[in-house]
Amino acid sequence: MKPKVTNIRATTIGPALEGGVPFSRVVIESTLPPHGYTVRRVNSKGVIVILPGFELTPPEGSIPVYDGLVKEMFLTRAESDGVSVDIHLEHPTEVHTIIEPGTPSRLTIRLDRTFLQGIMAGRVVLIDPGHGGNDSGASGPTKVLEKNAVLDVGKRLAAAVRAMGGEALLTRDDDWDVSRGVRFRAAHEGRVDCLVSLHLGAPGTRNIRGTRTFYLPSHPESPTLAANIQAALVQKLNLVDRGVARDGKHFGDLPVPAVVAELVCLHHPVEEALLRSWIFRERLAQSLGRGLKNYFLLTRNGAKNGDRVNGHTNGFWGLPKVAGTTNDRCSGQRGAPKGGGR
Amino acid sequence: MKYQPIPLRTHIITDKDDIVKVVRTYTDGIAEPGDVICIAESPVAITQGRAFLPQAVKPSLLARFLRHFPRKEGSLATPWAMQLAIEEVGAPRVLLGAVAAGLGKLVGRKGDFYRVAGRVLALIDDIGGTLPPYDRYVILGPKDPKKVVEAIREATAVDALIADVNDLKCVDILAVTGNHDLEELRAALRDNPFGNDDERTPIVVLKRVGE
Repeated sequence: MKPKVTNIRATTIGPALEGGVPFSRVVIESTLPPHGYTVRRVNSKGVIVILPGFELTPPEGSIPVYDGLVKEMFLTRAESDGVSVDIHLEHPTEVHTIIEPGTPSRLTIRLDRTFLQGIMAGRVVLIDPGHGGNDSGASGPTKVLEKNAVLDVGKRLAAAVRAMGGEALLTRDDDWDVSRGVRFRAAHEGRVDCLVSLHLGAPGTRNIRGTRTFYLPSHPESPTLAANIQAALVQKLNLVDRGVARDGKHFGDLPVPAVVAELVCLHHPVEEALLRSWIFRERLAQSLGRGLKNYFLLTRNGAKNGDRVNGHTNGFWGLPKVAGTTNDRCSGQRGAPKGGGR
Repeated sequence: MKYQPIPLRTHIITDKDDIVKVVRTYTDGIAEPGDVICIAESPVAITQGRAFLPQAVKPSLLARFLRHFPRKEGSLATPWAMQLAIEEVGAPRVLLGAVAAGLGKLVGRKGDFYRVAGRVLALIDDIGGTLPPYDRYVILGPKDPKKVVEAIREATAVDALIADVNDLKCVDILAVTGNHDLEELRAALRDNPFGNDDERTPIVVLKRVGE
């Protein structure tokens, strides 16, 4: 009987573990060690692993990952004989493989994430979990409070930014209210590279759902930041895309790019219930982190709309460019959809 | 260690699937006598048509009232989950459970609601309690788990179990065939090889690897 591939999974290992080098790890599990495997690069952002003579137990198809480096994996039966794993990357990187015999046997493909540290190194992100203390923000149908949900996501986002090599400042790290002046002081003083304020949509009706991101129009890079955050949220979490819109009221003028991410709609009963799951909150934070990384990648050389940065054409028709896409998917600058409030 | 878990990645299991056929297909050539095939409880319930979108459930006034009492992090915090609990065991048992939980709270005891209203209610996964794409559903516990594991044993000639495992390392074995040391089985599943995120590995073969 032929040996079988039984599972494939992708995980991210931070710099604190395993020798201080961060990497993404794609693990292919099988009933026997895949000694005859081959690894082939396809252009700079693709890796194909072939396991000859193996049968495939999982279904063929795409496995989305979106961890900042690995975009998705495609599992197929190889044309000749065996199993093919096609790994699509967001950035070129070093690839190392290790076979670990055992039950199950594992072929581990280590993809170096040091490149991401280069993008994020020296970047300071001000993360603002909205509300706090006596100001609970919105309340959901089962009384999930906005201030608590966004605080948890904010802390997780800070951890994600630090894991990518950036620096994160939180406007609050516990349940207390912070005055507007104190909250945004670091941004007003220009001590941070951008501001991400976390809120939940509270449209006053249970029928509106989804995510949207507002940007502060006083800085020219705010739309690009908003577009990248919105794209990352929608891709990873399969949320309804409520688009990107401008909002000049929330912060006043700030000298840094600033956005307000309305993660989901708290008044929608299903989205409120999703927020009760720490797995969902972690996925929100990872998506926000990936959006920030993509934004810094596009702007690290001071690129503006229309400039070409690392193979990405940065926008057309004046709309902000989203890293890693062939089409601009930003719906921004068309005015805010109905509902919402902070 | 006596068992080594082999997680099996599957397609997204739906109510169109027959769980016995699914298990037989994915474990063929991997599980053998002496092993134990483990299935997560939610996919079994899904194949039994026990996953409900909120719009398919009409919460009664009683459900809307009672859902205020469980912890927000618990399984019955939404009116839809509470309504399904009422339909599962009947309003009188749920009310008795609520009274017992209230009295239990007075003396600092936990778990009285489920002891009185029924253990099956503890298996309900509220919205967000299961992995995508079923994180938008309320999922009841599986019906007749003993019959299901016996049918799997019959079809595969390998012992089977259905378990509810969570990220807090709690393992609840709902049904199992054969004579196994349950503590060893729980230990083998404690790290949740079914996955906490979207791993999509609802079937795990526990390989016997030595005494």
